Order: sequence, then C-alpha cells, then structure tokens
Amino acid sequence: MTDSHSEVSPQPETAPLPGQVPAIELAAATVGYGGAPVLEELDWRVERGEHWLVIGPSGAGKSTLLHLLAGFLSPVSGSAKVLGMDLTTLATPARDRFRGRNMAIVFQRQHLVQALNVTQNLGLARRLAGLDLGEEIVSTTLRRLGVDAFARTRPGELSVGEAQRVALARALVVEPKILLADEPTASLDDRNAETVADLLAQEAERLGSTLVMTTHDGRVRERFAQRLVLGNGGSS
Amino acid sequence: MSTWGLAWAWIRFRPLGAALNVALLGLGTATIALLMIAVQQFEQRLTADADAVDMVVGAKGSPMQLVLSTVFHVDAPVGNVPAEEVQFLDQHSMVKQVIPMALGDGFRGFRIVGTDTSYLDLYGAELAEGRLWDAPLEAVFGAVSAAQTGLGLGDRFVGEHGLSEAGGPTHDDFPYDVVGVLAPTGSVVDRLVFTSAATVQIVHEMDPYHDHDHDDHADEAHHDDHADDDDHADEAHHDDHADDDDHADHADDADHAHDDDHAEHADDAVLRAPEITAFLVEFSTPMAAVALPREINQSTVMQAARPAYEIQRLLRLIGFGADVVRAFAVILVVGAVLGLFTALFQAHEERRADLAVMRVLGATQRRLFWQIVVESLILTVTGIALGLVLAHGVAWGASLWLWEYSQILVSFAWADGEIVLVLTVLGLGVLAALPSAIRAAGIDIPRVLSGG
Repeated sequence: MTDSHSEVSPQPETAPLPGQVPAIELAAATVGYGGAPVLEELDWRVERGEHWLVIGPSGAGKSTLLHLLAGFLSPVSGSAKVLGMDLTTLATPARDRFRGRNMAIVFQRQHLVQALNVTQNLGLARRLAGLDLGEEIVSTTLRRLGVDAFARTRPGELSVGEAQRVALARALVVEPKILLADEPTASLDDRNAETVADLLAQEAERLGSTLVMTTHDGRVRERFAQRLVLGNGGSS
Repeated sequence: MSTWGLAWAWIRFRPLGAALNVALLGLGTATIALLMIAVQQFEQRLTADADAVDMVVGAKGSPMQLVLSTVFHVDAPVGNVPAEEVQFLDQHSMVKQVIPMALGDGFRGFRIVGTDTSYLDLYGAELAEGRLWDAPLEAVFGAVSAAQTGLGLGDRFVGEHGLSEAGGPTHDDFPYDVVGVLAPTGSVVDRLVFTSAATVQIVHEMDPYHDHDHDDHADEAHHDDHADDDDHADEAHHDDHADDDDHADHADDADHAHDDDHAEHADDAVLRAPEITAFLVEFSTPMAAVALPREINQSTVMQAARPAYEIQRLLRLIGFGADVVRAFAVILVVGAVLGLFTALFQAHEERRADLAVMRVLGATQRRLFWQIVVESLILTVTGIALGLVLAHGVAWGASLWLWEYSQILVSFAWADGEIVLVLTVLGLGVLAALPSAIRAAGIDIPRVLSGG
C-alpha cells in the first residue's frame, strides 16, 4: 500500500527468489524533519536487482526517501528495512559501516573531494567501504565510464559531465548492492544526461545492483519501467 | 586512502596557509627552545664553576661581587685581606683545604690568578704541554687564554693592571715566563693565566707604578680599611714577608735571565704586609656550610660567601629577564595555535561537503573526528620539528662561533624542558583541532548535501 500522495506503477515484473529478503521494504513509514512529515505511511517493496525511478515535484520527498534508505533519517513511525536490516536498530557507527559496505549514492552535485585526484577519490570510497584500494577495479571502472583519461586529474579541472561520470564511477567502484541516485541528471545537458542515465542503468544491471533513482527530469523517465510517484500534492 | 594520506592531501591542497601555520608554530617553538638551551647552558656553566668551591673568604663588601670576582672572574675584586688570616682557616676543624687567590692584574683581558696548583684540581684541569708554575714569575695559561693571546711555551709577557683588553699600566720590569698550557676544561680555568700568589704579591709590592689602588678594586671602603696600601713604600715592617724568601731564592736562580732585575727590585723595594685577595675554602664537613660563614662574618675582618647560594641569587635576578622573553615566546606560540585553530576551522567549513560525502561513503563520526585531529597533528608536529631544528641549528651555529672566536665550549644538546615544550605544543595543536573535529563528527549529512 502507498499513502494518498504516492502511487506505485507498474508492479515488479520479476518475482523475488525464494528465501531472498527484499532490497528495500517500507511498511507504513512516516518520515519528516522537525515534526513535519514529508512522507506519510509509505509502503514500498523493492526486490533485489530491480531498477526503480522515484518521481515527483520538488519537495515531494524524493531526497527524503533516499536519506531514509541511506540511514541518515529514521522513520517517525512504521518501519524501513534495507537488505532485511532495520537501520534504526543499528548504532550510528554500525549504520555508517552498513551503508559503506552495501550502498552507494550519486548526487545531483558530484561532491568529489577536491584535494584528491580522480583515482584517489575512487580509492577513498573503497577504503571507507572497508575494501582494499583495488587499483585494477578502479582503472577498469574509469575505463568503462570513459573517464580513464582523467585518472590523475583533480575534480576542479573536470567539466560537469565528466565530474558526474567520475561520481558515478566512485559509486560503482565499491560494487554496491543498492545504488541510490538523487537527481543525477538535473544539472547536465541533454547529451550528458542521457549518457549518465544509460550508464547508471547498464552498470547497475552488470553488477546486479538494485537501483533507485529520483528525478523530476522528463528526459530520463522513459528508461525505467518501475516508478514510485511521490507527493501529488507536494510543494516546492 | 588512509586518514594520514587524506590529511596530507588536504594540507597540500592549501600549501600557503599550511606553510604559514607551520612557520608560526616553528618560530614560537624555536624561540622557547632556544631560550631553554641558552638558560640551561648558562646555568650549567655557572653551577659547574660554583660547585667546585664550597666557600670564598675575602674582604668585607658585596658577597656577590666576591663570588663573581674570585670564582667566575667577571668582576673586580672586593679588596684584599691580610694573608695571615689564612691561619684562622687553616686551623679550623671544619676546613679541609684553603686555596689562596691573589688577583689584580691581567693580560690582554685575561685575568692573572696568583694561586697554588691545588686550584687546578678543583676543576680537574690538566696540562696540555709544559709544566705547572713553581718559581716566581712563571705562568701557565688556560686553553682559551693561550689560544686567544697566541702565547705558548717559552714566551714572555708582562702583566697589566686591571682586566681591560686595551691594557692598563704594565709591570714592565716583571716579565712572566710561560711554562705550561692547560688542556680545555669547559670551565673558568680556560680563560685564566696562573702564577703563584707570591708572584702577584711581588709584582704589586715592588712595582714603582703600583703606588695606587688597583683599577679593578671597586670597594673603596675596603681600601679605606687598608690605607697602608697607598703608602706601603714607606712602611718598614716587612721582615716577615712570606714572599721575601721566595723572591730571594728567585733572585739566586741562574735559570732566569731576569733574576738580576728582580734582585735589584728586591733590594730597592720596601715591602708591605702580605695581602691576599681571597681564599677558596673546601669544607671538611657539610655542617660547615651553615656554621662557618657565620663565624667568619662575625669574628674576623673577612666575609664569607657561598658560591652556590650567590649563584642562585644571580639566577633569580637573570631569571626575570628570561621570564620576560619566555612570556613573549609563549604569546608567539599561543598566537600560532590560534592561527592553526582559525585555519582548521575555515578549512572545515570549506570541506563540509567532503566530510558529509565521507560519511555517505561509510566513514564513521570517529573517523571524521580523527581526520581533523590528524591534520592538525601533522601541521603541529611539522611546526615543532621546524622549531627544534631552528633552535638547535642556531645553538649549533652559536657554539661554533663561540668556539671560533672565544674558545668557549657551549653545547647545543637538548635542554631538560624541551620534551615538556614539545608535549605542550602538541597538546595545544590537538586542542586547536577539537572544535573543528567535533563539528566534523556531528555534521548534518542531509542538510550539507542538499546545499543547506
């Protein structure tokens, strides 16, 4: 079930494997800031490997939903489980480690560490996820995303489109079980938006990762079969 | 990318600001460390020289001046006392050893000390070449005084009144023969010229120029007490002059080319009562430290001064000046730490997105806290290292310079308090990082990443 401001369409086409916990499972989850709920009694189930698009106007709660899934926020009521784990039961350090090992997030703004070059940014992501530096996978990932030429370049010297592909590479290099993308194409031109959206879908597919992407960008809506529509009455 | 690696990357990302932080910390640390080294060297040298002597007995006047003039040889003697007063000390049960000191003349700024060879034992001095003085007008140079004057074995020189490097009236008729040069000791011995006490008395009593007070006898009151100094030529009570025999012997010594001169002067001179500038006393019992000075001060014409005590007084006086310099250095360090705090805080504000993304990538709050502290530690440790290198480099340069120009042995080794200085600055560096580190650990991820 979804709340009055949300709808799920269409339902998943692939049936979950027997005994496998869903990637995401929200049950009557209400989330908000300072007592004002942004999402109310949201029910949502995402199986492993599924690709979902979360759409809605600004203020509808798209980013709030991702923050809930990443463990930055806790539901005021109801429950939210990620990979079968109720994140509210974890202490903050354990939640941080769980997020690092299982999830990756791509933002509208790239948020790359300016003091590090591209390779070092990817290396930092792997180390914080509890992995080794993985030089081979780092260079392979950069090559797959077409930014291997910038391996030693600092983020400040990249174009917005190049930086967004590097940010995507940083997310993929930890081989996350769940890939969250928060308006990743909003600041890109048509060509780059198309490229990034394609890469997100392809790489998530290749890794078998569950992909949840929020957007109000009409250019990428048609690429996702499964959609969660939030905040019909949301305000910007 | 480890915590240290990322901290180093952040530092390299703002090299100018980081270099300024390090330079300020380095300067503050260097100033304090250099002060510590200098004060310790100064205290060690003073204490080492002072510890060699339990007590000084001399003419009444300033005890500080008595110690400075007879132990450190940096001030004018207070005055003279009758040499016969040695009997009081020699016969005292609390006295183990008495060493006479006759002062008044110098040679090119180096003091001529009339004493006996047991004085050298106080400082463990040994001959580098030649032999010790024996007959009148034989002299032995300390290592520095020999090097600075260029005199060596077989050379001859004449003493000058006072200690001025420019030289005063000279005792031309009483040339000294250099018979030995001492090895360096690192003590006051290095900067002295030694002869027998009798020689000093002979020179002063028989030199026709010596019809005035010594220029470096500052205590005029004492000279009032010894008014016969000025008109000693008219006195005729020197039959028992202890040095007369020595001098007569010396006059008979065919080995000395100037014996005839001396004999001539001996014939002409009318000798006064023998006087001595001071006695260096070694106690036979620790009890003497309390009882003997009081007894001497109350029951003799002399005063007793304890070098250890007077040096503590002197260090307290000098310590005030050192405290002022130290206070300025502390202000410098505190300013540098405040600069570090400001730099870290500003850098943290600029890196809030970096820190939030790190949390997204799996970094714990503790990791972010330490990330900021480690950055501060790198800057602080580098600043401390720079400061210590600067301080010890300057001390090393100063020691070379002092040895080159003055043959003064100065160590640039660690001062006792430097480890405390290092730990304190390190602690301040961590303290400067704490506000930023706490803010980093508590960063509001959604707000920062949504641009709030």
